[in-house]
Amino acid sequence: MKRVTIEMNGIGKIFETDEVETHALKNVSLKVYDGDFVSLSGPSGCGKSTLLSLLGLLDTPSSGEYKVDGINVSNLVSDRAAEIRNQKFGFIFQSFNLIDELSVFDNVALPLRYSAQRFQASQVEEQVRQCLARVGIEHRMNHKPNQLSGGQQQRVAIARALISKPSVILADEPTGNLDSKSGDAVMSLLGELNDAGSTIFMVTHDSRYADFTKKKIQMIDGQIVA
Amino acid sequence: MNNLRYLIKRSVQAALADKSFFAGVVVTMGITIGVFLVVLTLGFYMLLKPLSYPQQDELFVVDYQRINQSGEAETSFFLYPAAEALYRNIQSAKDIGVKAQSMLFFSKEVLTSEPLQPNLATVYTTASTADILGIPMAKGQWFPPAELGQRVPGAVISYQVWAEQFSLREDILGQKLVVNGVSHPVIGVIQADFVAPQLAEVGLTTQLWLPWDFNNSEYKEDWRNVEGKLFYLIKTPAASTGQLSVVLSAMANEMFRKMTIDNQHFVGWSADIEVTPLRSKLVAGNMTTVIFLLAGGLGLLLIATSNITNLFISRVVSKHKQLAISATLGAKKKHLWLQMFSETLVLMLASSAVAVLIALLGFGLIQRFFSTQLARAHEISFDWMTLCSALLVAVVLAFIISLLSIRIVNYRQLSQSLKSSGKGVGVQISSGVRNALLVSQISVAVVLIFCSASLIKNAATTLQRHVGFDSTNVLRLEFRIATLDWQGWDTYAPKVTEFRDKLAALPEVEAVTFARSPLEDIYQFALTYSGDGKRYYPFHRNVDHNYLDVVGQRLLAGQGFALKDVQSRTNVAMVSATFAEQLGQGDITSVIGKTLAIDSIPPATIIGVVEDLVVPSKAEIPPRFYVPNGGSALWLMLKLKPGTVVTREQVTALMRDTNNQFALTNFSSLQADVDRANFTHLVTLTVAGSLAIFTLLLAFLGLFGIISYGVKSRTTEFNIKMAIGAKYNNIFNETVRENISILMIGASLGTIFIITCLYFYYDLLSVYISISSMYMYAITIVAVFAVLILSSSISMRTIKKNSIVNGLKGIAA
Repeated sequence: MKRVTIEMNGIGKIFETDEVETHALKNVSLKVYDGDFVSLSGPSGCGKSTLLSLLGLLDTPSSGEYKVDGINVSNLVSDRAAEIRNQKFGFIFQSFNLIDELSVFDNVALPLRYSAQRFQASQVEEQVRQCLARVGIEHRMNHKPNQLSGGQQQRVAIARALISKPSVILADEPTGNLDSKSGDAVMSLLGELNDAGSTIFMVTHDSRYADFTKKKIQMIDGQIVA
Repeated sequence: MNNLRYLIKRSVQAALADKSFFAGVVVTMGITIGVFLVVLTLGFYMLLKPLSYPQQDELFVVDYQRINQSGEAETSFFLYPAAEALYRNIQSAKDIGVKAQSMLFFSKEVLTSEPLQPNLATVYTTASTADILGIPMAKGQWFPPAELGQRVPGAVISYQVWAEQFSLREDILGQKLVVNGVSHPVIGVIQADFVAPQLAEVGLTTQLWLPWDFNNSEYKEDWRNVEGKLFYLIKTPAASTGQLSVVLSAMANEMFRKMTIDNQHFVGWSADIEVTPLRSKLVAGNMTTVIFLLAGGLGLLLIATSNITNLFISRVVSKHKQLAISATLGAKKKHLWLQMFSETLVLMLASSAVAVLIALLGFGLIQRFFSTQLARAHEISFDWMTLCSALLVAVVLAFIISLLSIRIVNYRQLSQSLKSSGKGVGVQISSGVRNALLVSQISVAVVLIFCSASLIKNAATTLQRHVGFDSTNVLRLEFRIATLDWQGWDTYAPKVTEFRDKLAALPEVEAVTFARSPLEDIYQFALTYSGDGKRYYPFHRNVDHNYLDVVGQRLLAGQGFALKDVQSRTNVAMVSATFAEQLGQGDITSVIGKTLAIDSIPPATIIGVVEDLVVPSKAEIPPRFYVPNGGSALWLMLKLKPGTVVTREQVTALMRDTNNQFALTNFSSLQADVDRANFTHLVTLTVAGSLAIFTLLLAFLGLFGIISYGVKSRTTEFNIKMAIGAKYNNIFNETVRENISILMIGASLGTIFIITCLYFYYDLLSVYISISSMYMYAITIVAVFAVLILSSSISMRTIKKNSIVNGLKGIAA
């Protein structure tokens, strides 16, 4: 029986301003198992990105319970949330979010530098090289992100997501800024990672790529409908 | 018009929207512009503002110089008889271009006709002074024209003297004022707003005017020694001064040669006349001070403007989205600049309003505390020049700051940036420029704070050190023999002693001594020490046997003077500890029994060593020696019994009872004199303390502006790091670590600057440098470090407050 990696029960998220209260998520419950490849899709403003932020502990829910690997992470203090993010999640963003001033190597190594575990320089180098090799971009290790194409930058971002051996890779429209060829290549890379055992939760509005995943979730108006 | 109204309304709203930003800018620039206005106004009054006398550009001071055989100017004051001779020559000369002339002899005189014997700042002068200076009369008239030597008595008093001494009594004209034994009827009162030129002493306002012939100069027939209290004014068209100098020099030289022809010392000497505008002459002693003050004020304004510009740049970055939207909607770069300029102008005008208040306070402080140090300070007041300067400074600063701020906006990228990821590429300055700004801020802060801290330490040490005597319950008084018919000291000495005895007999008085204030070092003598045969140049003091008891100065070795030493003027001496250490090369007791020989006087045997006197106005303690004064002098100190008081009235009554020619010229408590002497250090302490605090504030604002900009431009980077697991503390520590390396570079540059200044100006600065300077330096670095941490902490708060999701989207908290 597969292990439950992510479990959400009755999660709600309300954004409040002075005059308006917006219910971005309403009573969302879901389970993601070890080795899953889940796609989340839905129209603009349905709450996909909000749900992904809660999943990645970038934000906290207004109500409900959220567990990662059995640990209740619903309302963690920011430092503890940062530790969990570092250990349990790898992030892939639509706009890559690489740091322009750092080399590809340093961008990929970054999660290790913030890890509670201390790594020797040789260990860091070995792990970075492995990850870059895995995404096929080792030869660009000393380049700056702005010297790479969009597809290559996203590969670097994937390598960075893999470096801390996370429980789940969270991908927010990973092909959104790429042409179709690069997008296909990224999806095929994610498929390979999933085949190798990585759990992936991906937000996409592209049904072609949603079909690529093993499990599809549809959201409308802050609720999971399918 | 509607556009303008909208622009102003929006600018005011924008300025007030961020209240902490508004307060920070207005307080900083308000103080800075205020200080700048004060020094600017001071400079204007000293360098540019015309004097309040009619045809002031035709008023000149005549300087009399004696040139020695080598062609060097030996003295630049008049010989008394030379001035009178020149006066007569000009009177009788025709067509040399002098419209009017007058001589002024500055003195302090005691009105012995008044019960309290007030001591008044007096000018003896000739009749035409009123025409030259346009002296307005409130009552009566000025002196009628008279030839030199006619000796027509008469007195003109200032309005202040009429009010304070005579309670504005209507029958003041004709009242008799006795000065130096001569009775002068009051013939006029000058209007209250008239201020006589303060040629002899800055801040000394003339209270009494007497005819020239009655002055008590000691040099009336002296062709050897100059009279430092005599000044000579002429009124002449400015264009003719060159020719006039030549004519007057010829007159002066002819007379000088004639009168010194028999004196070998003056062979080859000549006299020369220089004509200087009265306005320049009045401020001549303060020119360096004014230039330093102007440079300091301008420097402060530059530093503050640089810091505030950094803040504005940071603000522009945070308003990137607003600018991008405006650009997308068609705003040209000049529209963006206009909006920025009007917002900045609102802030600068508010700052100028605060500055005007600061300037008003500054003018009050200058008049209250510096009117005796700064020429024309008494004239300074708030006027249109100050107001216009405040407005002009506001407009110019708004222009400069908005121009520098708009320079970081890349308009082409800005108008496209809404389409991109929102990283703010349209508004950026390079990290190199940012770091250079940080380094410059830190180095300037290190230099200013170190200087302020050193000044504070120096002033505080001076204020705290033991003065070497006990000023408690000690009164100091000085008097003079008010007569123009001097009979020789032996005539007056018995009466002086009698006066001392009367004072000693007062029930309030514990002891009396004939001695000057311990704070006064007046005479220095060259003498030879028998211990090593070398020449020394210590200060000299005449004291009697009661001196040490009255002022509580401790005897460190040997013995003090006995009554017999004073009565028979025995050839004995006491030396101060510093002098004893010099003479005995560290062993102060070894000097006892040795002698000090002053030229042409029998050697005096050293019988005692006394504690050093620490005079607040002197950075170093000079060597001093004391000799017995013979038991009479025109200065005394009284030690009062605890809880008792002796009034000026008591003293003047005793004085008049002893000899009605005795006139009290000074009566004060020694503690008041000490406080007055310490005043400069107190002012230094206050100014340096304020400067240190203000520098820290400026450094904080400057660093905050730059760091804040850095943080804002790196918001996405920080949020990426936090998204992948970095804690806030990781990010904060990284930022501080980066800034510490910049701090070290900035501090090193500041340190190099300080060391360079010390190297080139060691003689000037060594007073302020000691081992404690190392502590001051450490404190400076810690203070700048604290400012850096605080600036980083406040700048980073936005990162902490904002959610990572928003941060990644480029949405501010």
